[in-house]
Amino acid sequence: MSAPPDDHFRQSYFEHYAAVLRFVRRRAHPLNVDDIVSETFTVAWVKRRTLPAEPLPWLYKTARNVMLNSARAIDRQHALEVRIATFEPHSAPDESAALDRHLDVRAAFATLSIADQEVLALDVWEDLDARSAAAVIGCSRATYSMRLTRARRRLAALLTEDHVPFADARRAAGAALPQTLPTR
Amino acid sequence: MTLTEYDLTERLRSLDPSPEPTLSQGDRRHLDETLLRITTATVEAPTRRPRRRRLAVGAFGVLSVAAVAATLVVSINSPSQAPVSNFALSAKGALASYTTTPVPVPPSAADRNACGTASSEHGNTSTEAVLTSEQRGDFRAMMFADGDTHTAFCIVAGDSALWISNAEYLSTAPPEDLQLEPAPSADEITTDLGRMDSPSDEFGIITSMSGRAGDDVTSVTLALHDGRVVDASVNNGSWSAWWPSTIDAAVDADFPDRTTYTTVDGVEHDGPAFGG
Repeated sequence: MSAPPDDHFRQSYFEHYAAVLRFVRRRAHPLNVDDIVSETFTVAWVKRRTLPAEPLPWLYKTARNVMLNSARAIDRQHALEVRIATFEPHSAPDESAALDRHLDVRAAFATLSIADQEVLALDVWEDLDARSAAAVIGCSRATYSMRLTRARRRLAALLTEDHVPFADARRAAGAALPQTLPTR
Repeated sequence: MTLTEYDLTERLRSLDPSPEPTLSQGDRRHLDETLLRITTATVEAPTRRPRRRRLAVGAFGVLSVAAVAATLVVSINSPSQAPVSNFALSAKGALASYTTTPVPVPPSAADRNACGTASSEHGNTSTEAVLTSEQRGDFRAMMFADGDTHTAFCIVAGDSALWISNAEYLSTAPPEDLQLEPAPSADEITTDLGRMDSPSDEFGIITSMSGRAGDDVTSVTLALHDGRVVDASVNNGSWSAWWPSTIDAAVDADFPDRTTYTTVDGVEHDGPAFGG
């Protein structure tokens, strides 16, 4: 027998709050994160009688819709743009190589389309399987798998090109290592 | 150089802006506050009607500790996404041209393209995807079907889409793959409602309603709290309507007091009610 709706909601809330928070932090402006998370769980509370037994993909999808619906028309196409981590070196010996790798993948990732970035983020950051990720973005599993394969192929191609602009340019210029990179 | 799948994954992982899985003290405090607010202050869905219906409610966050804006979505017996149409427009100027009775207009390619351009999916909308198409003053509104029973709603003024609800469902499906949610009985309608508060005082509030209409339904009319009577567009087994409100409206002030629809035999029926 399934749990009563209120109990199911509370269990889901405590179990998945951190994941939803991270999902939103990866995509939304920091000032909007708390509001979006609150609104996502407000929707879940109101719909608790029909909340799926495994609600995490549904919560991601709801958070995604909240972000889409919150964006003005002019910003909608950027509402799902993922953010990229700053680089914070920890150990001196590998710092330069690590920064190079980070700059390379960061530069390559930034050239991908928002749709490519989204499927890659769902795969690696949210660690979703194809079925769940497809549910989040509202497409078929086959479509998601195809999009993911193509996105990975495009990213790999960018990273294996002979010329890697950021690292090469920095090496050529002998520029000092920045301590952090701005998060866009 | 070739990259293994593992290498690629690890390098992508390094870009994660939120890799820390544990909650900070501030996060935990927000978790507790949010739960309390949600479970004690959220407007409940009316449950007395067994009929299938969906409701989406936007509520300005007066109940929020942080005074945040909140949108509440209520769903009863509905597993699908509510076609919420929430958008904000200037309460002055061109909005004054709004009319409560729509004029049917053919969905122009320019308007469809404006909606597609403004959508998250950059959808190539087709004429076949348009369920309703109407004009109210300077505003042209269209409801779109997609390939998975979702709908999107788009309003255009001039050559720009001002707001799109469920933009991700703006169809890129070919006409033969378009799907609608199951039709109700010939003499019934289903109802969805959406509303969102603008984050800025300079913008007003727009509310919309839409749903499926049975084969015998010829018109749908919404009587609002403030006395306005809004006629819906009915076409292709679907209906839709929208109306402007103001940021000062109470949480549910512009929900319809009464939703009625007329069937081919001239009989007026009560539709699903909202707001209590």
